[in-house]
Amino acid sequence: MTETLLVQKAKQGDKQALAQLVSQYSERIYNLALRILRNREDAEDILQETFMTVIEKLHTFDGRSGFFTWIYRIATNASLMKLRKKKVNFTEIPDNMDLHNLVDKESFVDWSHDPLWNIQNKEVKSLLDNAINELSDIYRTVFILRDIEQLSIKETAKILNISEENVKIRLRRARLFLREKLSEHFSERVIES
Amino acid sequence: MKAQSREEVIKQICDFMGEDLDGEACKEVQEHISACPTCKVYFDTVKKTVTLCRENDADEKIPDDVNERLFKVLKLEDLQKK
Repeated sequence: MTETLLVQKAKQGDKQALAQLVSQYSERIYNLALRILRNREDAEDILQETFMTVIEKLHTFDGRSGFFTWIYRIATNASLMKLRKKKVNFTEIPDNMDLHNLVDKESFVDWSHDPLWNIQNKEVKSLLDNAINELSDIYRTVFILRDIEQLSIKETAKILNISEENVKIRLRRARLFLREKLSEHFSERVIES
Repeated sequence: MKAQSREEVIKQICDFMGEDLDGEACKEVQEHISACPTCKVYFDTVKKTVTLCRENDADEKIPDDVNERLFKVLKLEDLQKK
């Protein structure tokens, strides 16, 4: 059965179709929420909240944006609300993030080929988690949707309801911020060794 | 690439950083990166950053108990495929 037909049947109250949609999307939504919130309990809350909203609002879904975009938008917004409620102190990314560390530098330490820096290394894992945790909500969601979930710029823009240009700007800053965070740590080690 | 100020080149590289890192979006910038060791290191470390984050956040299987609670909350437990 196609997804469009499943959605149509679910809208008409077919519980079997609804259960199939839940099965199809539950893992993706759980992973999306986990990536944004970095906490399993919170991810479960968002998973339940997302599908409860889907059931409540399914009659308003008009198919213009595609079911995937619609459900991802619900889950992303719910995750963002939860993240904001937690009042985490994010690191501000300066507007000149794009350039401030580059223009005056003649060279950078190359840590990209060091086999030590892999995710089996607990220190690296914790460094990555901390770096993403420091990323404020608007940058974090773009980075996760585009670079982790590997959605297109167009899909990311639709889900977040922002322009494609805005996605590119936020993505660039998020990538550069995370690179700086890892470089602060890795470069020192490369120089020491 | 024509003679440009370092800032101009970097600006272009930064623009490119908001694109698909393996894409064909900016051949000129890619050509510059392959010829300029400083920019190449910068580009490689951004790429490695993204790769590490992606590996660190790889898909997790949804735990069975989480899935069971979800179907129960939605009152669909009789229709959950095990």
